[in-house]
Amino acid sequence: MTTQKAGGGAGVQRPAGVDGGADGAPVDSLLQSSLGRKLRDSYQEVVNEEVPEKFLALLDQLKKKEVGSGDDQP
Amino acid sequence: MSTPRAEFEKMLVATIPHLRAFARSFTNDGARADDLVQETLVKAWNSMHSFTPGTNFRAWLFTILRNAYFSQHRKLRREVDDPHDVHTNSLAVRPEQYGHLDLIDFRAALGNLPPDQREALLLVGAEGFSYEEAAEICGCAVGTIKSRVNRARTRLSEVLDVAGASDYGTEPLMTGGSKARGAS
Repeated sequence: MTTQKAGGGAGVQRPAGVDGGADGAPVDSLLQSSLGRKLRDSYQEVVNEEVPEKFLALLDQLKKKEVGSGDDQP
Repeated sequence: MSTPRAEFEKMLVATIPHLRAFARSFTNDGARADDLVQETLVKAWNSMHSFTPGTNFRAWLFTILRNAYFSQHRKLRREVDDPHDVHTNSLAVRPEQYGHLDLIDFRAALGNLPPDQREALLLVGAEGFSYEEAAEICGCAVGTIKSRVNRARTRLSEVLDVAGASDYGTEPLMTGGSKARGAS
């Protein structure tokens, strides 16, 4: 008997809500869910970057400008 | 009624990381992406009163960023060929990158998608917007977003499946973005 280890596919489960081949396509939905994870990971990596100071400085500048010109001061 | 200024500012600051990520999907040049975010912040600040409280603030900002990008893009295109965009479009897929770092492969594949498909996929799949919200941001029909997302997913799974298979040496490498097509 050949005991072949399934290449990482032990207990392949199809995540709920992933569309694709109705029954016979666990590989496809596995791919789709790994795709979704990679998509979120690669995007999240940028989201998690520290926000450079210049953005907060810009907002400060905008606030000051508004106080200087916009407000009606008696 | 509009959002109190302090509240508005707080929401704006909280959204900056997302704006930067979204901007990065338009241009590969980090500095240019940040310029785009800065322009977005100024525009958002100046049109603070046009934001309707209770509606999706992030979607509102994304729309501003998107409009800023496209008006800038048109201007640049009229002047000269923009080197950054050339860079974006030909986002290099070096063969030695295949099969090494998963995310690098993935990003390369993402970079090779048509821009409208990449955008729809990021909005729905990464930012978590509903199809309806994404459609509003992109100014198109919900069905259009759905089909873009589906095409993007299909394309990515094809490309990544091939890249994955090549790890085992069973499939020839696909050259990224090749326009060469067989007769069939």
